[in-house]
Amino acid sequence: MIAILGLITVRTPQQLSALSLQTYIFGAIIGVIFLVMAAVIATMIKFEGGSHPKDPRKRRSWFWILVIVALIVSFLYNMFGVAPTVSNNLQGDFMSANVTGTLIAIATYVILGFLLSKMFSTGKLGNWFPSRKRK
Amino acid sequence: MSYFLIGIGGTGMRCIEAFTHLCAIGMFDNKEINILSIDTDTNNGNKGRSEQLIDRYLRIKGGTDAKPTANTFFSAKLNIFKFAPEYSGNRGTYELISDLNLGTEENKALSDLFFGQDVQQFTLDHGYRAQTHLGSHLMYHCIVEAAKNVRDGRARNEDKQLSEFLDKIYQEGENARVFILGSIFGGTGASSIPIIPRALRDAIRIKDQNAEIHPNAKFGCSLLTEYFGFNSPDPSQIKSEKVIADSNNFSRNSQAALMFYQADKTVKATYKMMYHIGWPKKKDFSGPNSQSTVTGGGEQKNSCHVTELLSACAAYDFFNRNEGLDQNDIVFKSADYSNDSFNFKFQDFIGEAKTKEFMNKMGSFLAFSHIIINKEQGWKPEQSGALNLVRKFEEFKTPDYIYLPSQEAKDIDEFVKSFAFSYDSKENVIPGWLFQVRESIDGPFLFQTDSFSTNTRQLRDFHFGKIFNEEEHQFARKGKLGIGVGDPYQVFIDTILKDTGVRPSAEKQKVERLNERFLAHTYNTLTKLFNIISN
Repeated sequence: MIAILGLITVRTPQQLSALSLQTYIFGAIIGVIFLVMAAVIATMIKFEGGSHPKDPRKRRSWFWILVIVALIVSFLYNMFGVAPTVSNNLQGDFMSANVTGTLIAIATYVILGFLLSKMFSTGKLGNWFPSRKRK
Repeated sequence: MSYFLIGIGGTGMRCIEAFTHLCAIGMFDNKEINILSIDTDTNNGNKGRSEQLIDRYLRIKGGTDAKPTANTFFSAKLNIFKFAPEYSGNRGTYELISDLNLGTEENKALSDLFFGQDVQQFTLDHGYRAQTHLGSHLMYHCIVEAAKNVRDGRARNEDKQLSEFLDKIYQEGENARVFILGSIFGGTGASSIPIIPRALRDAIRIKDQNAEIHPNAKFGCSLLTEYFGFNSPDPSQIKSEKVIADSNNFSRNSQAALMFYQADKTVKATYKMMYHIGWPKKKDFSGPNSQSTVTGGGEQKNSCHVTELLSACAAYDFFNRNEGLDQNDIVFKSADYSNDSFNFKFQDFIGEAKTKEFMNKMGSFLAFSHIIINKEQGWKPEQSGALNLVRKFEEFKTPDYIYLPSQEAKDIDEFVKSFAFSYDSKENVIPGWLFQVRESIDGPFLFQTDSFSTNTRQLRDFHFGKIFNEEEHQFARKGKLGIGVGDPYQVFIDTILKDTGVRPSAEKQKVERLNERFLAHTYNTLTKLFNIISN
């Protein structure tokens, strides 16, 4: 449809290369945005008292839920929002860039999330990657 | 300086209970205090309760190896000694103890002069039943007899404990401060307060003729006049028991005792400070189902009263006082009283100079109780609120309290329940010591009224950040962005986990054991949040 409308802007390998780079950067930004959301949610989840408080598990669950959402958002946006601007003969290459960009989103999210979890290990973000319990 | 506390009789036991709670909130930093409990009624419910409380305190503190700490909960080291005269079997009455039937006619006549037949023949296992003339005589002799038993190698365990206590007083010389807690309106306390110093001196001399309590050792006592009453005995009970205490005589007994203390030279020469504590209204300890007078034993388990806290605070004053101990002085304290109720403030208990410290420590321990019992669900059977709080540290990788033994954590739970409140199997509120003290007063009492609610739901939802009436000493008053009401538990956990400034200090607080560090960490956090004193 977009092709019919003449909105294809990426026709050459050089243009695809630039678009790929943009896709990777976009992936990293998506990772950061969703990580910030995960941090806000983690902070909003209240401490619970008692012998089996559920709040640490809730924070961990939301962390991994948001990584999946970030993956889906990144991939689908590139597939339906960006791919139509690429000419048919370069679609295969762009799909590879899409996959790579999505992996970058996940990696950014998880690696930065891990680092934040260790930096703030005594706070709520510490629940994302808890240390093994001593027996 | 060395500190010795003697609690005598049922009222003395409840005063010791109040004193132990003062130690638990941390009012006796850096001190080691030796406590002797004396009661003739070995199965007395009050005695059992206070001794159980002290035993629990000792376990929390770490037993005999414990050391005093500072600026934290449970800072004082306590040593407990228990003494009870032997009044069973062939020593069950005055007549039997004195061997009147085997003695001379003169002995019999002398006894008949001072003691009626009923007084000579009632059983002593529930105490002296307000026969103070008999009680003074018997208490003096049982203390002296205990010393003889130790000297002659036939001592009971109670005799040895008394002897050990006396040895400590002797060894401390002029540094000994001895405070005696008991009532003066007719019970064991009234019998013993006049004769205790003389009895202790004579007992020490029996063990070693050259030994003496140092003349500069200081003695003080509470003069606690009547504050409760109970059903008068009916004729049938009098006929069967022969001698029963009658609370209608308490006022007259108090008056006679005060007149005696005012005039007696020996008492005035011995006691440097006497703290007169009175109460305008008598609390009824009859009980809803009581048709007859309880003479003692396990049934006598009276609820706590503010006068006992005032007596414990009198001991605090005596132990910390540096002036006015060179001559006999009787002091008293009054509080704002209007519209038939008191309006107690913190300074009414402890004096102006220590008001903030007392306010902070009492409030912090009460807040700690709410956290352990309600927020960490220590109220649930088989759960320990202290252990649940410790697990927070494990989850968030703060210090190594995870190795805190579960038994020590459970002792903390049980202690705070004794201090504040607990719930029964039907989730009704069971008032602990402080709640009972609050119930003994008609007017306001130190903290927000809701902090003493006996409605389960209201108590569970209570905002412990607002324990104090003054807004400048409240925290989590508002939610995030100033919207709604804040959650004090969130603020407490956030602070204790993240704020490095509230970590326990081995140097300032002298805390070494895991238990001590955990308690100090909690104390520091609440002190910071309430903003009454700086750490």
